[in-house]
Amino acid sequence: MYICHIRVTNLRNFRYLDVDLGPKLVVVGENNVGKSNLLFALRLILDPTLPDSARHLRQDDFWDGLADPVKALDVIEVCVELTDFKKNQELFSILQQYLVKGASPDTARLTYQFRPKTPVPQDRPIVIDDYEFVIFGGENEANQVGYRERRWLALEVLPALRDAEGDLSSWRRSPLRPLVDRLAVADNTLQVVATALDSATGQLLSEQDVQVLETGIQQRLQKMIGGVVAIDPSLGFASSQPTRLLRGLRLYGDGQSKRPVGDLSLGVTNVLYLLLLAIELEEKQKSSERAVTILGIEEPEAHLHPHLQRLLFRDFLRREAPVILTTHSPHVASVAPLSSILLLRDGGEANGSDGKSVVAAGLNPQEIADLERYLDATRAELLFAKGIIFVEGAAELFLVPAYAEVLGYPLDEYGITVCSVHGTDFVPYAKFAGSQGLSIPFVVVTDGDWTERQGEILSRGLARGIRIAGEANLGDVEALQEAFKQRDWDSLYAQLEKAGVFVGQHTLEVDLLNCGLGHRMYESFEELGASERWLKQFKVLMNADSEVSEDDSEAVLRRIERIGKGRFAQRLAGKVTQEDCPAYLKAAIQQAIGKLGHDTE
Amino acid sequence: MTRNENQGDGIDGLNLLQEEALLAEGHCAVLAGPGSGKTRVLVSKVAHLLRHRVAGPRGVACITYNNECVRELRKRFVGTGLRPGGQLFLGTVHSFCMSTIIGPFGRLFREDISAGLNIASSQDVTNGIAEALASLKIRSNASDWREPINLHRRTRLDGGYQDEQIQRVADAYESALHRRGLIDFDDMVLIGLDLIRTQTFVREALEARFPYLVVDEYQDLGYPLHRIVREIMANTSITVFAVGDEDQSIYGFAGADPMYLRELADDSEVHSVRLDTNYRCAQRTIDGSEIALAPPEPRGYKSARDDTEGDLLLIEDPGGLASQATTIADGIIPALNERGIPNGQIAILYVDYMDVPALSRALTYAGIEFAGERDRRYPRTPFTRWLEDVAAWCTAYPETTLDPAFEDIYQEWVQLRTDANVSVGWADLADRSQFHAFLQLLSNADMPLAEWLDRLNDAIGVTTYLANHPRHPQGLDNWKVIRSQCELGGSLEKLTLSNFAIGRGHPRVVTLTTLHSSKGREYDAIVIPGLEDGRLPRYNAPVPEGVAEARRVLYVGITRARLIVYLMYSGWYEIPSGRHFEDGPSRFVLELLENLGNL
Repeated sequence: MYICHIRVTNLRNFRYLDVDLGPKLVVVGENNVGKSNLLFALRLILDPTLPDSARHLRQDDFWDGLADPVKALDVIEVCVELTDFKKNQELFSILQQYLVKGASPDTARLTYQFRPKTPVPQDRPIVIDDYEFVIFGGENEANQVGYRERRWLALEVLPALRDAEGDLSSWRRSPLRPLVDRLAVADNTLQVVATALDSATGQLLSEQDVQVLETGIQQRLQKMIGGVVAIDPSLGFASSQPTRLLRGLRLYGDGQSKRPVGDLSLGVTNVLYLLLLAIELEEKQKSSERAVTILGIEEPEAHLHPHLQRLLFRDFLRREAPVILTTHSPHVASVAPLSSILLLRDGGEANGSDGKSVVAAGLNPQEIADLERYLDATRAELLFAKGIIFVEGAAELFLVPAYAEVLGYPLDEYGITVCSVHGTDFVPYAKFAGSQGLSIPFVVVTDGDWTERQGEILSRGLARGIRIAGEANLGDVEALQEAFKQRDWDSLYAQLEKAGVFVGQHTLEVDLLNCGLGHRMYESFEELGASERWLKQFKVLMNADSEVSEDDSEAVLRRIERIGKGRFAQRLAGKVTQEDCPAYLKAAIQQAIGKLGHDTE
Repeated sequence: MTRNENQGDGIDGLNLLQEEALLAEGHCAVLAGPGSGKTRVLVSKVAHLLRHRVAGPRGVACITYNNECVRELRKRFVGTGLRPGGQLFLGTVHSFCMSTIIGPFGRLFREDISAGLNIASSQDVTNGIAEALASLKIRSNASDWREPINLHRRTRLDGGYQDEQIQRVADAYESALHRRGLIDFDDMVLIGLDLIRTQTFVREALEARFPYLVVDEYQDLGYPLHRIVREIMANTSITVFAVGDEDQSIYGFAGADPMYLRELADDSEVHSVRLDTNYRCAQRTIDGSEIALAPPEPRGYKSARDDTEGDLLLIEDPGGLASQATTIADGIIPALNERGIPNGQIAILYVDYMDVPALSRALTYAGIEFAGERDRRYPRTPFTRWLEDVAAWCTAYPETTLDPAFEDIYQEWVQLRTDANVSVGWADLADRSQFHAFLQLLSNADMPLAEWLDRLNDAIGVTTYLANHPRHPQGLDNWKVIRSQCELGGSLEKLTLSNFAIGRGHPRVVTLTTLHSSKGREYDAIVIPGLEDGRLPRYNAPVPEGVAEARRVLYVGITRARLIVYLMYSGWYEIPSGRHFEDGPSRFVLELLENLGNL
């Protein structure tokens, strides 16, 4: 079972959020963008521990952009769709009553509404007390959903400000308690242990010093408050009453030395805490007290070393049990399954927060696996970018930010990430960031790669551009194809740029040479130890009046590849100037910045 | 509570055969003769299943014949601490199909089913048939087709019809209803069956929600339900527990047939148990009823009563029905009273509605109070029953009753307003206590009904919610009928609140009802007048089914008696036109006369 769709209207940060979700849910976003409020929205429907008084919302729970919501009779609505529950007979038996038409027949909907009671009084102004909440299943309000249903289908939330250390040391709050409570130790065994414990305690207490301490405490108490209050202090290891014996069990985090949890590092404590929770969750799933428990953890990364975060949550997020995490840790996000990512963003005062996932982006499993590996390797940098420039390889990775810098657009300050797709397969990335995916503003920069094909010189780069634009819905594909058919290259270049795909002429390095960066490239070759013979040959090329020939281009590229494209670009990046920036690169950078709403004039 | 408590030494005080049914693990059919404690077994079974075999939120579906049976069973369930709702579904076959199959799955799997289905009114049905006839260019009166279409739809589900025209009319009629977003009662079961038959998902869903299906009054439920049960047994993991008595199948006119239960019980997959002890009737009543029934094999039921043999008396009264009525009022009832049987324990079961005037005249003349279905001048709808429940609660107050429980009355009041699109605020304690307070003010058992209705309406505004009410389409009409009958000269004119409340069953007066509607009830003494051939069986009853069903009707009547049965005949009868028939006493009476002495 998982939540496959959520729609939130007029609640706190959200004017209108409507998004498809995958089998796990990792809510990623900056502070104050509504991560906790999204969890709260889910709790309104699914949390059996949330009292009905909390479900009766308040004036300040309405979306901030509503001027006078109560007067305007605005309605707060949260609507979740659950799917894939057929295998779980308990869940199926409840949710079959709330079916809606969905991708699979086992799709059910639960709706929470906070709305004015009907009939609305006409003779006086409406106040918040005229509002009521309802929760119902399916499309029929008569299917009311109450505690009886919620208790089988429960969302449990661990708040961000939890106290792992305190909880672990207090029996009542300890996540160890339910696990111990579930133990079935035979009464006679308990009796034997209790007796042994009693005699051990007795032995220690018979030591004179210990006795003195105990009686000292008792006498002092007597003097202090007399017999007024019934306090009877005594010393011991643990209660030796058989029924309370198991409660004396403690969890230690460091093997033999048995230091109490409070003495361990915060990180270790948090790992233990989450570990116990995970076990308890699986136990609950196995037992019949609930059909399903969804665990929501706010900021699970708290106090955990990045490495631990990755290890822990890679495991957590691949378990059967449904989990919802809210995080701003790139380490957690980087190991999250791609389909689980829900990216929350501030859409500005007029729109409230908006959320996007890649569930409906049309990525195939292969593409998803590739992207997941990419996010893993880059620590999910893309998820935290405000804008992205997708490039082919290492050379662009160095040179694009360098040009942006000299053009006066330091990319870091704009929150723009340059992302290399290590090749020319931009399509999955474009889908990922495109309007069907996470809707992160992006541009694509790719080589022109003009080569002879079937007796005609054609640009593979332009063909690629058309494909990207088509698959990621970036522009009018028919018009692009028409321009290609007409061999109207100028128009094609222009149309693609409008769509956000910037195609060069040849390969980046060759384009740079043609733009007059020859001298700097010469220096770089020289510094990186190219041979005298090549330097002499290159000097001729860079001083030539015309563009370099195809053969010469290949020779240049071969030389650069021998050094390493990245290494060469790294060196060259320090030498670029405004004047030698290829026009398409400048345009790409300016468009990326423009898409974020900044002025580039 | 009836006398058959603590009857055996098994679990829950069950006898051995009852316990066998309780503990049966697979499909089970319980053949339960009159007074054999079938409801007791059924309630114990459901409780057993919910305690030991089914873990929540999965549950048990319990289906029974009509709303009256549902009320009766609900009472029994509540008495054992089981509240229907949640894990226990309790309802008629129609509400089962509607709320657990068509409601959730109809619009997902059938193009012709819309989300907000409404139940077709009588007028809708007529219009639908008329539209069907018109579309097929059949020039005929819609009302002439109503019964034939219904019977056809109830009994011919498998193709191979002799009459193709009626099938075409039935199909066209159903489409006409669906186009308007309407559904009729037969439709509910047929669509339910269709969805179960064709959709794996629906079967899996039922399997998940109800691992057990319990069916009461199996003999009354007809062919479509039988097909649903067979489909469920063949293609799901659901375990079926069916209770019924083929000998009490008396709704042939509605498509019921004892052979369905027989077929189920004879299935090798089904463990069948025949309960052989009759805790209600005295042995002589049992013997007499079996002679009237003349079953192919002897039933061999034994009375559990060791206190009395009971009595079955055949009384010839040559004076005709009017004379029989006088004999009842002046002779039989006083004699029964003499023997310590109060009027509340006496029922007169008549063969024909036409007998009512003569019977009520004689009773009234003798000053004997009586109550019957036909002296009510308003329809029995869910709304009027609720109103009676409210009256019963007010009558009993300040004593609290479980039947009706305040909670049930209140929940219905919430539902009634919610359906009318009025928010109640279901976390609103104030609403509940306000309703309670109003009812308290109206809890004077001797208040005239008219005053009670007016004050109730002033207090809670019942009628304001009833206009075009989706679930109580007749509600407002019902209210107006009742209120107008309270006026001078109306049939409810002198009624007090407590009189009105006894629509739910009167403990102190003689019951006057039809043989058919006596089913499911029991009395110390039963009087059945007018047993003449031509009336029972009717002169035009088809042989053999019609005659066999008439036997079962008489059998049901006789077995209502705990102690004494009077069967009366004259050997002739008249119809209202004055025509006189002299066909002798009912052939069943003759068989009894011949055989009863030999026992």
